[in-house]
Amino acid sequence: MSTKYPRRQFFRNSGIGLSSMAVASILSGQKLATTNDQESVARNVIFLYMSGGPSQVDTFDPKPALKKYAGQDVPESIARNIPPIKRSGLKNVMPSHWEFKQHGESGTPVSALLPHTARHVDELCVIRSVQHRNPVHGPGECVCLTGVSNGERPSIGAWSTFALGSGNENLPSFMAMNVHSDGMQYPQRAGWSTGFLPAKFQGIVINPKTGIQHTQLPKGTIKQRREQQLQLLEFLNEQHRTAKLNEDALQARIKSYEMTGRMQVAAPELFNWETTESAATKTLYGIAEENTHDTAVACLLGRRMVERGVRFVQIRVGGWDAHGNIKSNHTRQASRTDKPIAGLLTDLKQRGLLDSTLLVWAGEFGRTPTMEGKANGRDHSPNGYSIWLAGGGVQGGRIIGQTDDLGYVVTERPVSPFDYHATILAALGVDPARLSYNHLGRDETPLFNDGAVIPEVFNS
Amino acid sequence: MFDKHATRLSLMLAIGMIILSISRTLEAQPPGSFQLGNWKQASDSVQALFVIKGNLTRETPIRSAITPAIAQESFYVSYTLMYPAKHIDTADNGSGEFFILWLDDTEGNVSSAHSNQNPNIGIHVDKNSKNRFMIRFSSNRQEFGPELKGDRETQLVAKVSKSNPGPEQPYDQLELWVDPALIARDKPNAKLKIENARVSSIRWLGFSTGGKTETEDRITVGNLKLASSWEELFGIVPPVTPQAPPPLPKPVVTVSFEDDVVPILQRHCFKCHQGKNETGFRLDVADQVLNQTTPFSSGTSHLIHRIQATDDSRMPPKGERLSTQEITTISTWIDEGMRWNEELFPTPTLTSDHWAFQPIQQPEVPKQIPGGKPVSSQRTVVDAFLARQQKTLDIIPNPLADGTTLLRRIHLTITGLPPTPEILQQLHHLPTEKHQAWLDKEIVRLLNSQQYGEHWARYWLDIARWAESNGHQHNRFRPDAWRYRDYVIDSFSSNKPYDQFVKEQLAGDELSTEDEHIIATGFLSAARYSGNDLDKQIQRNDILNDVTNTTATALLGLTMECAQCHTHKFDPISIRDYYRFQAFFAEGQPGSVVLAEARDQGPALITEYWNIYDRTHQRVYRELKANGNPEPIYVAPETVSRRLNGADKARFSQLEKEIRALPKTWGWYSTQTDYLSLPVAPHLMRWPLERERSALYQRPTYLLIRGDVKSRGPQVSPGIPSLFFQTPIGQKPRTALAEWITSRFNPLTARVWVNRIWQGHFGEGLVRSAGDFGTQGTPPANQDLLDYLAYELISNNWNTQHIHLLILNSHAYRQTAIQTPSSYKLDPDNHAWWAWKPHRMKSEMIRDSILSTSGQLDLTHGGPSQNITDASTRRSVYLEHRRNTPSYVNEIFDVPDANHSCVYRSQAVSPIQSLYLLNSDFTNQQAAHTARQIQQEFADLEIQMEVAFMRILARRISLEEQPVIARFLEKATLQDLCLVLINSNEFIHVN
Repeated sequence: MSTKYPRRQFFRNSGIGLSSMAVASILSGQKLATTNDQESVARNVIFLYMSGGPSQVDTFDPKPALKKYAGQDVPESIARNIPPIKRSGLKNVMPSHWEFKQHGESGTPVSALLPHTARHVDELCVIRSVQHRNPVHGPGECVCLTGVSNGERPSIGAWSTFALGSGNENLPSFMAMNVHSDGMQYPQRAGWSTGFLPAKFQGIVINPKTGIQHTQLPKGTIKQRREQQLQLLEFLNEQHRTAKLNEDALQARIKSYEMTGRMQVAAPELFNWETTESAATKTLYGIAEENTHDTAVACLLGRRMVERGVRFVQIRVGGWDAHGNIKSNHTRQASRTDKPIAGLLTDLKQRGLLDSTLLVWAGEFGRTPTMEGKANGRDHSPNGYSIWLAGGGVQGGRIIGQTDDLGYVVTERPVSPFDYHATILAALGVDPARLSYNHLGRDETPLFNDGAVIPEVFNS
Repeated sequence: MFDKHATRLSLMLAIGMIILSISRTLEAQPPGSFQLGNWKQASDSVQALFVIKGNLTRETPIRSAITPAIAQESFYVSYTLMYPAKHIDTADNGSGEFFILWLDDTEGNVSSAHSNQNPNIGIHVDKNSKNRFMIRFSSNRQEFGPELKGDRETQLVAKVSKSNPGPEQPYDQLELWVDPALIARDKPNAKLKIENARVSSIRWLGFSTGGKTETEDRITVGNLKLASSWEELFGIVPPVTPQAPPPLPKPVVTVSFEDDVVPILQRHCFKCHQGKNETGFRLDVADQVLNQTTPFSSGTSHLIHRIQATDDSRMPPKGERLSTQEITTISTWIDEGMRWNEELFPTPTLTSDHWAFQPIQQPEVPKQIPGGKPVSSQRTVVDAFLARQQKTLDIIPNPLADGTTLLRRIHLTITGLPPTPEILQQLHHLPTEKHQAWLDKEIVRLLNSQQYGEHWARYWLDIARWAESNGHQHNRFRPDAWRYRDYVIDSFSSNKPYDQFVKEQLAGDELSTEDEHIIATGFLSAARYSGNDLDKQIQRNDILNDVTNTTATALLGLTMECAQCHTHKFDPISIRDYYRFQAFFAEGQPGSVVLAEARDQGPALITEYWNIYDRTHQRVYRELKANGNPEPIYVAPETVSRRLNGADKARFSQLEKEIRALPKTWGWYSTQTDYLSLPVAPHLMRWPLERERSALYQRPTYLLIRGDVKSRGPQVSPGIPSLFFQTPIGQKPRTALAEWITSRFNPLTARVWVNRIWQGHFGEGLVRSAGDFGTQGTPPANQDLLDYLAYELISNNWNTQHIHLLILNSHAYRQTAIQTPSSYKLDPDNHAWWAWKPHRMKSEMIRDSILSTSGQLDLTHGGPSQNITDASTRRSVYLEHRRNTPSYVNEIFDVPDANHSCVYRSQAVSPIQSLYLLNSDFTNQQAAHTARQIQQEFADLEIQMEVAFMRILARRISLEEQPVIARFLEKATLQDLCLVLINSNEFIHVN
């Protein structure tokens, strides 16, 4: 396997190395990825999960042939390669409502649906050839974030925090925000769960409006009173702990109370963007606009989180499920997400955080190039769809993989969700093949059976 | 009904029309071929009533030909009859009412009797002069049903059959039902069989009056129906012919395994890959070859990739490569289905010397421990086994803990709740030396309490991955799933023998259709599945995998899921074993099953519901099709209910309401039962499971290559993994599986269960890997002890309580938690159980204990779940348990996601938990409650302190603590103290 992608030298970078060592000392049965001479790049990840499935042929995978075949059946030369998956309609090819144009120096084409993102194409590495077999939202979401449709393996966020440990002991290291969870697209808990990894690597779901729960003192409790409470608690716990078996666990709980105090300071500070962020920054994300507000707050918080060392931020924006009238659906979704995400890219860049922050934009699948029924929408299609990565050492302005003339099935460089998970870890300087956890006698890795890092994402 | 009929009746009389229509659903009858014959003024109207008046003489005012004639083995005939009450005469002189529907092979005329050994169904007077419904062949061959009641429409149903089938054989049997419920199929009101029957085909039928039928009598008949089956009479589509999945392709076989393939294997491969060999891979074993190939698809077969490879992965690694011709032969063999000769290369029987797969022997109880032990350290046989182990390590177990500590410990591990101050007082009134004996009794009391069932049920619900929603993104609620939760609670509370408990859960519906048994199948039906999957094969396969994996982990402690894709890497379980095991469940699926008390009205409501649903579905489908929508056209249930037309809409929502109100359970139904013995109510979602039981019939199970439902290997039938002793399967596969699992010879079941009982008390099992008794699990440090408990369980009729008592009365359970330095040095992980290891309470225990100490806990038993957002103070086990959306406290305190069997909960520690316990409304309100109650009861501050400790920590305040707490209360409140106490490690742990 190529070793040209960046790897972190664990024990050289003091802050991160130490916390990783702490992780290593707590856990048994695990092997951590080790060293390489190259400079580490990404320290944090922001995963922009577009729930419902954005259409590849309307965003990042232009297909002029759709016009040629408009209204016709999918030609046999393409149809025969489509796996036998329900929902893969073969009738009535539907052209995109949006024109594609090349952007930036790289000339990466983006549709007119996403004008703000288009300005950043030179930062994006677009992968047009992601595929898997599951055409259903719930299991598809699990595939996207855990690699398997039953969601029983660790989420990529859990693997990442397991590998790197905490970057800020005063905040949870993996936080998930779910915005626009409307319709029936309920978030899948597996997306921030740990599978067989220890529960401490689980993501915490945060409401962007209210922040981390219970970080405010209860009504009527003043700070001084809390100090008295904690003092008494310390006295009682100390008494209880002495000479007891299972001292480590008891000690860990005592320590968790020391952390509550710090978290009660750090969390409100993190969520207090309203008075601390400049008007220009707020405008950049589109905070003031009704359409963009929710995603904008999540993205701005995402930046504030990575700034403070939160390892993995997951922002789930629901609503992309365009079965009927894709024009209005995707227009709405773009208006919710395009500007805030572009704002996040700009903001990270101007603060010098883009190099140390990996951004991933992906849905659970793409959509059919055909019309579903007569509703002017597209059905689910996991046969070949587009995602992008940016920042964190990723080679921008690049396009990887290819689909057929209609954008239906991958024809070149198939990429599985396990592959892009491996690539996320690689960007964090972790060798996914050597990141393992012993579960039921097997050394489980994030690669599962055959995932592999996509080296082209990094090579210059 | 009566008024309506009366109106219509007078109307018909007024216009002088008599109309009768007949519906006929006999088999093999092309629609429209049936003719009404010479009914007077026959019409194609759907009017179904006909009024006959008497003439004080025997006559047939109305008759009809049946074309073509009926000669099949049996059929049903049904009509409704209403007799005016005022015209039912009290019979005297043996003379009474007479009215019949006759069936005959001749027409006769108006005055023909039609009672010459041919079927009659109607009313007549019995020998006690009562007018009753009856069936007869002739005047001296008749049987009576219930008494005739006037002024009400009564449905008469008769089954007419031949005891000897054949077109020439006569109809010689009659059965009668009067106003039958759908469920009464096997319970007729009267039965009759004669010797000298005459009529072998029915060509005519008619209604006849008798000599007693007065001129003013108005007999209303109608709704005449003929049907081949009981189901048809009720408008229920009977199970149709089994629909097997499309057969595997049958290619022309051009390559012979024996003549073409084997020589190539011998030439290139067998040198390394035949028989037991160093590579660990055998090419002479079908199951292992299947791991490397995909039948019918050489292109995706690893084996082909390896023999084609040009890099260092090529096979064979050294020597001559396979020729292009040879590779083509192997590829063709795979593409033609990979035929195998089992006689030439039989599948070897898997064997293992792994400890957990060996029979459970009764270990000899150590009689004397060499060197002697203090008697006090042996309370039950458990201690004798541990003493032997401790002796080898030169460890002395810790002394007994004090009564107060133990009181809290037994309450928590048995019931999940702390002891009340009152119980604590009882203990404290006794002299110390009597404490242990008193605890022995307290343990028995607790094990027989409802609270024990509620606490231990929670462990089992984790094991059964039980939840009240479908899971995946729509995550539909399963409103009836709570009954299984109560079943589990009651099973523990009543100390149901473990073998019976297991059998009911695996095969309840095969045992009986009693509610308890049906509810028990909630174990199988707890499976998660996506309600948004159009691919029924995938949807079903997900359920079957879930049930298979759960059964293996929950009951056998095996991680079979690995073998779903490939023969198990570590355990002797092959991919074939996996799918044979899965085949036990293949003919069933989850559903909302109607309980006994509603089984008479349920089917009719459900059938009517589906009838409306189906015709609307058809209509919408046709409209979409007519609008030019391309196939496949899917019409979702929500579209159907939105598109109901006017009349249907009201009726449909009424039906929905009535069906919702039926008592039901979320259970498992299969081909073992039918819609009458076990009706299933709709459970709608975007793309529901296939509705018809017929979809479940004889559904073959295939070995799935790499677990992919689209890559079918050979067909398999239900069977026990070949490693273990085998058992005949018979007609009830799941019963056979349950019998095998609960057989006293099963090496795993009892070991796995006693280990979990141990774990429930100690926090860890004798086998630490409670979910994996396979070769990758942790072997028990004291197998004799484990086997002793397992043997005790089996030989005491699987009495779970017996095992609890052996454990709870042991010294091992009752010792202190002191980390004795000498022992700790020798055995820091406490493998020899020389000390009690404090462990964190489960999420539910934390919440319930807090509510208990504040006096707010509502101990109501059972019933539908409480919404988690309401401020319910019921025990946590009664709060809604949906997948994906746990309560906040469950989310942060490691409650499993119910997506797969969980036999051991992780115990993470995080500041998020501490923030919750310090700052949440819940903990602060409960602390306030507790404080208020104490203050109301006691004015003295010192007593308040004392009581707070008693209530929350279940102990007295110590002398060291008193001054510290007193100082604290100078600045803070009693509520603050209560909050601190529920945050303390002592409270959160089982000490």
